[in-house]
Amino acid sequence: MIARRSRRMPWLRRASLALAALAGAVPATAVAQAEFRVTALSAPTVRNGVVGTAAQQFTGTGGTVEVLARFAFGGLHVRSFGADLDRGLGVANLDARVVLGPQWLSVEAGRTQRALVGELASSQYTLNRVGLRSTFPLGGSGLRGMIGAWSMQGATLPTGVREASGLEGETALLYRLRRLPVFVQVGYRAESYAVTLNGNRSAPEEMGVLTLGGGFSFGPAARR
Amino acid sequence: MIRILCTVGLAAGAAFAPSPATAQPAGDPVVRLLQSARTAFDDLEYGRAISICRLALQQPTITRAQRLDVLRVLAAAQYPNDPDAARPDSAARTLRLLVKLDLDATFPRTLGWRGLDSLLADVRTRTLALAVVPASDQQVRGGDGAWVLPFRTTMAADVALTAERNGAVVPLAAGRGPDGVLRVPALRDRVPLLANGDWTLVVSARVPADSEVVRLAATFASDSLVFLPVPALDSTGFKPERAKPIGRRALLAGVVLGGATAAMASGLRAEDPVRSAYGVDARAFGVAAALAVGAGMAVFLDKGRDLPDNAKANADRRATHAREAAEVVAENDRRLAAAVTTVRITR
Repeated sequence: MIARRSRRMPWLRRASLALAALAGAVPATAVAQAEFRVTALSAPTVRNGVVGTAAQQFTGTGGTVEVLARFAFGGLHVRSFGADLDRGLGVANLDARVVLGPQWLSVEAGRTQRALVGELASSQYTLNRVGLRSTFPLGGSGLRGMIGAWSMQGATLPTGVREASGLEGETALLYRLRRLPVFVQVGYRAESYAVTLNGNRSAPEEMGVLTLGGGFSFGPAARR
Repeated sequence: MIRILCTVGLAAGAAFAPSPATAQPAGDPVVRLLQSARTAFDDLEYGRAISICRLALQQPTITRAQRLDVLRVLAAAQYPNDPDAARPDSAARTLRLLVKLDLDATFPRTLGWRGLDSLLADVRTRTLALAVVPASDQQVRGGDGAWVLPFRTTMAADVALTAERNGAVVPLAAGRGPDGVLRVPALRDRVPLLANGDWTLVVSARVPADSEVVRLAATFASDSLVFLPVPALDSTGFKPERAKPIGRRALLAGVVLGGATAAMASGLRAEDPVRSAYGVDARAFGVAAALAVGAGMAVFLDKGRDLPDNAKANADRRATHAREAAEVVAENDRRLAAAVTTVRITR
């Protein structure tokens, strides 16, 4: 089926070969759990934070691009998020995570580069992150559910920030077409940060991101 | 009309002298009667010759060759080259018997003449006669081998071959005259067509108005054939290639997914003053509902997840069975190819 489909879609053949080459160094059982996924999401975003001493809400639209490459025992997950909010505020996150464990429950550990860019001031954080993610098929329907939760701790902080930590949660439902390596995704991501500035002044922040988009997924595990 | 005939060889009636009858002992009454009839014919005493021939035909010891010789003299006496003495109707009846006994029968010059030859040719076209010329011994090898029985008839006729023994009748072959070969496979469905031992082969020729039958004795000897049983594929050991549909568990998954979304949006809140200033993002509840409903759709979408490992195991099992079956079939084919059936046909 793959071969017949590949004749019509050379790009699929190339992607399959690339994945096969990537899988060449790992056992067959690991290949059976392999997946390579590229996701592009529209991300309407709401951010609530403190400006001065008062809480303010910023809204806008962002975008997310994710790349996941994994086998049975784990893999690598990279995510880039950026949003332009009103009143000139911009938010950008860049994550890189190592994934350990099977799809249905894997541990993720990595680092997040987070930047807030505004007309008045800009700041940039580096946060270590660790968490759990479960991706589970809903039978053979092509639907998959995803639930994840992460904790973040500041590693490199901007001037004037004494401590920073955060929590993130994400849920999504993915539906992959039966005969094409294409999927659609809908979900929600919530982030909250506790930031302590010098002088013990608190500057908490929360963000809600609606994720809506899709992408390409290859590999045996993607078809389950 | 069914007659018992044993017609063998084209040379049997080709020449009258030296006749097989003359080879008989001088004390044989049929030989003496035949000589007397011939003498009477040569002396133009046709009526006497006819009477002596009829007497000879009634002898219980008369052989087939002697009967042929007697019938020739009788026919010649009934239809001599003398219009006053010729009795063509009687001669035709005698010639009919002669042809049935030997469809290639002719008259030697010392007996025949053109008119008698013409009458014989005419009778031959109107008389059904059957000649079977079997090879005495035939060896048939393999499952496709066949032994043969050539035959001739004097006219177009349906010819059938059966084997009989102890009341059992086995149809063997059919053909169509005037010339043909009855071809009989030694095996049918890998089993000898005829059990080993003596059989009577019955060849019958049939036209709407007449029939002829030739019976032959035959002995069949086939190698004992024992085939290995081809292993059957046990379907009970196969694994399911598709999992059971998720069914109502999809509803549970929907509840978990939707609930987690709502709980996440409600729980992952910033501290005051943000928390007190803004409520929970209401969009999250819409997404939660969408995820719950979407996951629940799996109840209808899922026909069972493919189980490729099981499918591969089943395919391997089928392939193994096919290979083992092929080996057994090959061994059986080898045994079949080596099997020999010997057919000995006597008159």
